[in-house]
Amino acid sequence: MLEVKNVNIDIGNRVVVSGVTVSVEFGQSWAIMGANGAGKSSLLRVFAGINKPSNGDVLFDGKSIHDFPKKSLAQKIGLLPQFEEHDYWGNVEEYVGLGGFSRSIGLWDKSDEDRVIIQEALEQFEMQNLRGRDYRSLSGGERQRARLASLMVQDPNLFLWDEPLENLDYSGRAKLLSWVAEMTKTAEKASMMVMHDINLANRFFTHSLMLFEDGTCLSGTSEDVLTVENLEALYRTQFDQVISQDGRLFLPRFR
Amino acid sequence: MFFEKRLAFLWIAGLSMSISALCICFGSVSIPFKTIFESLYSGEGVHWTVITQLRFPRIVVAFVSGGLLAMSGCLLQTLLRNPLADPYIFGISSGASLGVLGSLIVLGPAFSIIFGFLGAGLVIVSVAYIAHRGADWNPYRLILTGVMVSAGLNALISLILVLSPPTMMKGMIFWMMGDLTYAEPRVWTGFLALSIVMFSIVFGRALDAMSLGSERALAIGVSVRKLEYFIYFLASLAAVAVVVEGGAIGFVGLVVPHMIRMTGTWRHKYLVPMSAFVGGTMVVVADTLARSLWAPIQLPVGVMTAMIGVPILIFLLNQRSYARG
Repeated sequence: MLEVKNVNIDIGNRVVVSGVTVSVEFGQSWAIMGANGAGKSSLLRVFAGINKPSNGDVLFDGKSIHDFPKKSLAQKIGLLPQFEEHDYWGNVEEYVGLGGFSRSIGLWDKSDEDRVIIQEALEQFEMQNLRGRDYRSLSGGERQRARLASLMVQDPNLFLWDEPLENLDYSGRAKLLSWVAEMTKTAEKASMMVMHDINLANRFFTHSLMLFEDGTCLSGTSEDVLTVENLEALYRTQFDQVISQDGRLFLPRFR
Repeated sequence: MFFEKRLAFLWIAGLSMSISALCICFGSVSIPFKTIFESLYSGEGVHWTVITQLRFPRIVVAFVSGGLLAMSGCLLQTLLRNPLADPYIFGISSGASLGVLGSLIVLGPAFSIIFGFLGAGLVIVSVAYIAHRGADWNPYRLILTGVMVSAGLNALISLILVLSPPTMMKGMIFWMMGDLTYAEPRVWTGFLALSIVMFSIVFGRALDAMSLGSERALAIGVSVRKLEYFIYFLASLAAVAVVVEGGAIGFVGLVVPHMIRMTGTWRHKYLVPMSAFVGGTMVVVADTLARSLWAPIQLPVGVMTAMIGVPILIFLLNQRSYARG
């Protein structure tokens, strides 16, 4: 469904990402990894059609994503940016409901289907008790959960998440990751997530994309891509591989 | 919830219309209610002339001006995501003032409105152009460009004021503070006000979503760039429409949207029309006070809007935890 062909991103005179070619299909769940400043967020913005790449094409179902009207693109590809402004005035339920903006037509506000999916999203991220609270009064972690819920309400075919695990506690992380894994397996969905935890990537994600500091990248199934050699090149840190009951674990050697 | 907001809206609309209508009674001469009805019924006499030729048009101008200013300020606060934004932040009033003052000195009063339009139009176009050049515009660039342009123009205005003959000075200062004495109601400004109300009802949700920042708004499917252009030109046009007729009436555009948000209405489809009604009433009341307090001397309406607006806003600020993190 998402076809990324030879995408380059330059910021100023610096080549941030060069020659990214990836093909994302239904049922796949991608982890995007790289050192700080490697261009993960920039790449995600290009995938979402918010920025244009310096070079190369991004196609959805064979059509350039910039040829879609904004609303119909938002139904196909949804991005949750890492940061956003927090001067939203409404309560949690209204905030989460904004995710369904792309389905609204003119003056009509929310359909009954929207109400159902908002309810599901609030339950999924354990926000039912907070639904009437002012969004601006939430803590960092609660805001993050409200943001995740709003992307769930947007319900695109391809979910793009920029470091959604930040600010979440362990149970929040586990809930999100297992929900994403389940959703991509059962519904006609795909997901790409920027993250820093190699072991979670190994456990929950079918595919991985590594962005190296020199702008090159490596993509494939997590099993193939996540190796000690690649990780050491990616993070410039030495790793040990340990086999546990749940499969492989990678442990960084800090010294 | 839904009905509550509609009810509140009807209340505000009704109340503001009645207050404005009541202002017909007051001026340099107070006319009692009974006399008004009698003269309206008979359709002749001094009071009939005063009411239909002087007071009613003036109240209409004041109401539409106030409504336009409040809506303009409200939309610009959304566009720039800045609570200090008001209709004059891009220097529109300075551009119009420069045009009007220049033409007053050189050509006399006949062409002042045209030159006011030209000055303001030039400012709108050049601020948009400068903010756009070389990069995308964003709130920071836009706001700084506007503040710089308006600072430059204000310096020129001060220069003109200093060099102009003292006999003209008072009239100019009056005009710059906002003065509806020579304003006339025009069909197109009413039409503009209605279009802005319609715009904010139709695009209400998209406007609400703008408060998430442009990246997030884009990601949920808002055509951010188009919406921003619309806001910019509609809000600027509203400011121009007021300034060329009645000068730079201050404070309404800044304060009214905050007053309404403080009372708990934030969704644009209610916020903008409510701003229009409250802003309109505020200017009508201010103008009535300006006409009658020191009658027969007329004060600039801009002075009165500030004197009414400041205490109300300070009162509301202490009522509610408004600016929460």
